[in-house]
Amino acid sequence: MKNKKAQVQHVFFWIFILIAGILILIFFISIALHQKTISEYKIASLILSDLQPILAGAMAVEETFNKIELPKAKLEFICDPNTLYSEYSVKGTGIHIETPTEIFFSPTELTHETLYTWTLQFNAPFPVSNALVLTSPENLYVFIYDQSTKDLAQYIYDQIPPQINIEMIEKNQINSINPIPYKNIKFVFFTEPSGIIIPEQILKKSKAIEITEEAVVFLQKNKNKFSRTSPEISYPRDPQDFITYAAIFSADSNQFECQIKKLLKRYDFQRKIYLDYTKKLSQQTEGTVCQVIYGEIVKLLNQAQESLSSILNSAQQTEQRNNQLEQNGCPQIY
Amino acid sequence: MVVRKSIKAQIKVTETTAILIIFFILLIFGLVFYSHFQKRSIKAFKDDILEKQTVINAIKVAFLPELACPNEPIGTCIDVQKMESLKTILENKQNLLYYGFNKLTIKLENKINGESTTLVDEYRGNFTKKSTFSIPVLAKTQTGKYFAILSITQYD
Repeated sequence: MKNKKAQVQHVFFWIFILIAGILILIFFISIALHQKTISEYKIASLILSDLQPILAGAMAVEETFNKIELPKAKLEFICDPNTLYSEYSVKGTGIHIETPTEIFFSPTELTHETLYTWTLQFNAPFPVSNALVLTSPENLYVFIYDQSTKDLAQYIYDQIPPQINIEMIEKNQINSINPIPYKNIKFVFFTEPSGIIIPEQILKKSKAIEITEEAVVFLQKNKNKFSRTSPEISYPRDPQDFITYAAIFSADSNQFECQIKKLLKRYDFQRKIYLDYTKKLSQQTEGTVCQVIYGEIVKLLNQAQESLSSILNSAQQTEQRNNQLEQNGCPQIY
Repeated sequence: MVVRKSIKAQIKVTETTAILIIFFILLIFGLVFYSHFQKRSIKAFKDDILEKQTVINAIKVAFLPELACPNEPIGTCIDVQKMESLKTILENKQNLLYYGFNKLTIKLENKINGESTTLVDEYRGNFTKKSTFSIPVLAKTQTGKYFAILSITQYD
């Protein structure tokens, strides 16, 4: 009897120890998991807080190229063409930086430790905004040309910093591409794309655009080829090739559309500032030839409001008037 | 004998409970100390972010194409007339939010006569900390150019 009671006590004692042990274990596991999440958030915040001034600095000065070394992280770039909400983030952490005024053209995800930035400036004709091209060594850009378009392809190729992976390939040498080292491949067709068959292992990681003398056209996959969409997604090219480079380095037509809409919004603010500025200059130069030219600029700025093509059109004419101002000894507007 | 054994077992359980209580008290001490340390490091991190944000905004304002002087590279000179036009646009709160200047005060001070032009007026909301960053710039008015200080105050 005594022995049985002692045995029961012993069992209860061990059950007590077991429960206490499990509770302690759960407590430590939950702390460890919590700490893991906190440290992930902390690393993501550190990456973004370090990256933000680098990108702001890179964006400030036009025509600059930078190579940035980053810790291993998955950077994600989002831009919604309907709401114009845009941000970049460390994927999966929720830590993000909103970019309402910053214009980025990049793949949707960048996972490489090296980041390339190249700054472009959009002028219409006055400087509207700088934009940042972002890419990495895991992205390949392939320019496909034929004999009639080789010069145009070569010209575009020559303007891009040599550190960015670009291959110039004649249209019948498509099989010479080695897709293995790359995560994404962007085809830039300077020739009719529908006749070019793309091997399956290349096609699955590819996107494409077509560049003609007048426009950039976004393409879609169609079996083992690329073809134009219906309705066609095309944008006019500008004399400085801002639109051309932007389309080459955009993740897709949605990102391009969204960033261009953001650019047009910024243009609208600039247009209002230049309108106000030109009107003030016009008042200050009353009765002179300058006032006539300022009047014409005001008209042009009032016209160019809606689309990219109307802005580019009016930009050329505004540039001519600005040159006329210089020729007539009047203060220029930009 | 039965009573003695029972007392012995009770003492053992009490002992274990006491050890556990002491263990948890030490653990709580450790956690309190750790959380204090974490709070301090988070505060330092937030201060660091505020300072970085001030510098980023200072670069952003100094290099705004909206403010560039005619025939001058962006970032080297600020046109005061364009600044006044932008100020009118920024009076709309949505535009202020768009530019990200909603928690900023932006001033351009003429270092020769001490006069100042404000792009974004004094912040009137609540804040716990502020940080200021100044950049020397060339400013252009109708009458000519002068040396100025562009100062940006960021509020948190």
